[in-house]
Amino acid sequence: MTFHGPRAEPDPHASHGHDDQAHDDHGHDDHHHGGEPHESPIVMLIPLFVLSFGAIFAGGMFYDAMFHHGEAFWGDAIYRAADNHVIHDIDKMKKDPSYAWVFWAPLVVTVIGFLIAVLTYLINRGFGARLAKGGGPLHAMFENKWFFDEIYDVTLIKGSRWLGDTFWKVGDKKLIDGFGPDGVTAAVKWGSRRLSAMHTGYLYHYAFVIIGAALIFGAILFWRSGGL
Amino acid sequence: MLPENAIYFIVLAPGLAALIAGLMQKFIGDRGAMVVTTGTVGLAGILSVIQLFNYTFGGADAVHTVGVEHGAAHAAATVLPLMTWIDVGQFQADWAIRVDALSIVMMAVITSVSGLVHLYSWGYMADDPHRARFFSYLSLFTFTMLMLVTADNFIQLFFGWEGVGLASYLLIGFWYTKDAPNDAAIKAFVTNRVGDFGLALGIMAVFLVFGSVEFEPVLSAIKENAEIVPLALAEAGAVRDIVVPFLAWDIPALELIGVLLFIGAMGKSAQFFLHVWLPDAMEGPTPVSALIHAATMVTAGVYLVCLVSPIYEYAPYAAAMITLVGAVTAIYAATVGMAQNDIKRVIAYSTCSQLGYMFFAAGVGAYEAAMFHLFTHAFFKALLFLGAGSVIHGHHHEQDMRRMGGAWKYQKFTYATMLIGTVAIIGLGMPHVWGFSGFFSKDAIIESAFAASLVGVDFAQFAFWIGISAA
Repeated sequence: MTFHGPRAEPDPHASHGHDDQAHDDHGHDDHHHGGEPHESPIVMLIPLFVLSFGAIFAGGMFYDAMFHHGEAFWGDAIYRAADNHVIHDIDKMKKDPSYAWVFWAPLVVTVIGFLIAVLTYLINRGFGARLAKGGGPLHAMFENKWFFDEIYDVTLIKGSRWLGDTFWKVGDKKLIDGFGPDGVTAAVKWGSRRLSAMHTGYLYHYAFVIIGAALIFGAILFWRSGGL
Repeated sequence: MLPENAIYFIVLAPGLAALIAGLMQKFIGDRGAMVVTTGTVGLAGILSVIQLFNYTFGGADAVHTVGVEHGAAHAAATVLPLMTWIDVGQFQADWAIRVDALSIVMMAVITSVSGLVHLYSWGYMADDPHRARFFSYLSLFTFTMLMLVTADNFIQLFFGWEGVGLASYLLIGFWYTKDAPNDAAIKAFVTNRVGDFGLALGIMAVFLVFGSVEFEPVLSAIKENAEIVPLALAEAGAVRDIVVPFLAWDIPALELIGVLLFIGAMGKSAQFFLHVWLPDAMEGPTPVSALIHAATMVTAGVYLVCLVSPIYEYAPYAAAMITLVGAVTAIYAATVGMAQNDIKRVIAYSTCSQLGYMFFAAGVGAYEAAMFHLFTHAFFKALLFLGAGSVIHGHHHEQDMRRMGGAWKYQKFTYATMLIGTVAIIGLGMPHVWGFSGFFSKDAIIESAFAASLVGVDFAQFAFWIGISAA
């Protein structure tokens, strides 16, 4: 449908917009109304041309070297055990008419697939769109990529976020921070507040503390020296 | 093989170009950055394609493809050391360039597609204000990908592996002022980290079992079933009989390593369960999708599996897992792709599905078929993406196919190339006669799966029928 289908009116707001920064002003656009498709510049066509050669001829040219006589081509780079005869068996199959269907099956399937594609997109235009609109569980599954992104989102993304949140909020903040840095600073703060509360400025309070301390230390020394 | 200087150029020049374009963009300007990067990568592309043709069809040490019997010729790897990187006891890792059939094919694919994508971006990104940054990222990607495929040890491979992940992240999120590309970039990066965790564990297991992280000693020990004394984890014994404890079980070391490495490959190559990032990665500019998310980076997983083929040859369960995951991905992506409307997402799912094909080919033991399909797929998938980019460009960055239509009237050339790409990817061709590229490689895979099912490889029959129906 890309090439043969009817062209929908370009929707200026639906730009998939990867790079309007890059292509806001196209030289050619000024002449058309901004919506007309145009052929690409020659530097883009040369690679297409060269690659087309590769796409057409690379297979036929290197089939014998890389596959049929692959053992000589790959040499020591690829190793097959003594009991691995896969490539050899294909040669044998080619000579055996009872296996001919193996060689034709891919072509038959390809042609059938190609005909279906032609039918869907060229002859019976809109069939594909109707098929998609009709929906059905199979189409839904395919369109949503077998729901892989959703499953991963629920299990892995949400799961790891929950795990991360748990470790961060409970493990790190509550336990480690709580007893570690925060706990120590809180204890020091609490202690220093109690200590500073004792600094009243009254001389007799200081005198009381000094005399009290002298008594306590005297008692300890007295006790340590063995008593009377 | 080309002269050594040419190989040094192929591998190192893109990195240098990325540095120049990235760090000196203020001095040389956008155009200077574009010329430097496109020129070097383009030249590297031409050189490496010449190298591939040389290796395949001509020259003194070429593989003569006509009349070669099984095992008649064995092209050995040449290693060009650059410098010692890590040297700690048995933990040795050089920075080196390994040149063998695998890396020659990968070099040709990477640099040629990358060169074309650089050129294409001149047109596609013509109006972007940050072209120097874009081209420097592209070249950085090319360089790290080359590091990956020319590594001669697991550590350099891991460096390249993470390097391409970084470049992919930067390029998906290139339009960083928008939410969607940023989200997609983070999704890609995080999903890849899940896989890389497996890869890293696999490499650690390799080191603990083999006492080395270099490919040569590890892989030849497996081929010869040598007696080895593991550093840890297990008792000494013949490689294929060593078992390691894993949780409550004793499992063969090769199976464990095989599965872990494959988990890494699953992440990078967007296989089932770790595929979710690839469709979203289409938020990046289209040339990026063509280069990274179609032709090269996503095939790194397939490359890894083929590279360590000796491991999977003696790890039947790990190989069965590859077959199963590959086949499931193939059918999954094919069904989902049918119901998408965004032209790039459709192609992304198709990539996913083709990667599944490559994996099940490798899983049933037809590594040649996997690498061959990787090689042809790079061309037609890059073609499809660049063609889609051309359509998007022509439609003023409209990506919903339902709003396109009638484009063939305006874009005849693009139309023709897209048609070629499509015909190539659906694998049209007459058996025994001739066809487009996809015909040879895809049928090679399907036939491999069938041949494998005849001798009772696990899941091969399943893979065969899926291969047929998803064709």
